[in-house]
Amino acid sequence: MACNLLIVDDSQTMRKVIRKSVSLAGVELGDCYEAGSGQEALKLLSEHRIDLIFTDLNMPEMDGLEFIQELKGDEKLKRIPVVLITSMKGEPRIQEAIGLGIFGFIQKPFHPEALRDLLASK
Amino acid sequence: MDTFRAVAISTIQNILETMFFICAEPQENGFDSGPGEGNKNLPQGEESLYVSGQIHFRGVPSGTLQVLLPFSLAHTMAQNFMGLEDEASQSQIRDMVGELVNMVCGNLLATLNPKVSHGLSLPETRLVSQPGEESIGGGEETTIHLDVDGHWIRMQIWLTSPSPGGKSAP
Repeated sequence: MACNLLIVDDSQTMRKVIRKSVSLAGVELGDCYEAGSGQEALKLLSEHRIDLIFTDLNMPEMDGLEFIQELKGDEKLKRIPVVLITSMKGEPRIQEAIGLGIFGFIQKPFHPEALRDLLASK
Repeated sequence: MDTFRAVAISTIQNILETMFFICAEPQENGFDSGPGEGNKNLPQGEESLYVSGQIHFRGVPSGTLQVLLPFSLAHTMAQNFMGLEDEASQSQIRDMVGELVNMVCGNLLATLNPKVSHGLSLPETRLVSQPGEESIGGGEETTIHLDVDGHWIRMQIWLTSPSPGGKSAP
């Protein structure tokens, strides 16, 4: 079944790169939604069926960790796998996100193979 | 070459190669020439512009990182980055430069001091007509010039607090 994707990143170019990388990783894509902040993402989640989420950490309004906290606190949404993509390897918010049960974490820069390996590993 | 400078060079080289598919070589003596051959497809005026991206970081060390590059090179990089067949727009190009400084800064800090967390500002970008040397409010400055197939990229880092191990930047 095709996978409906939500990409949350304040950089429009990074959203395109992630979308392309997911496609190159061999994921059969259905609808692909994009949000520039956690707040926009929550709105999209209330309107559409989403199967997989990629989110940045540093974003205006609502950052990636706040978004994940909101998501994991929602009974209807908390089981959607979330992959965190960020350039900040040592950032404590990454550990907090892992503690909340995210699917995985990828550090930028990355090759599409890193996404494929992560998605295939679970 | 000191460690800080070497780490900064290898960090930006790795990011340029991995995400933008370009090879950059450090130039010890900087550049006297212009931005390199322009892109004939760019609208008139844009080929002589430069794009500057800047990000601030807090922690150990604290400071500012800035990258400056010709608009024509940024245009090519944006095309590579997004795998575009159409022309990249000016907003996409600026956005790409913001993402570049975000990645360089995040990776540089993680390599220098992996056990210490840093706060990063949201990147800021702007178009400039003259690539003059800049100095951002005090601190130790490191300037790195990279050659990309006849074009150049300048990266400047200002440290306002000591780098890891108590060493200051050169």
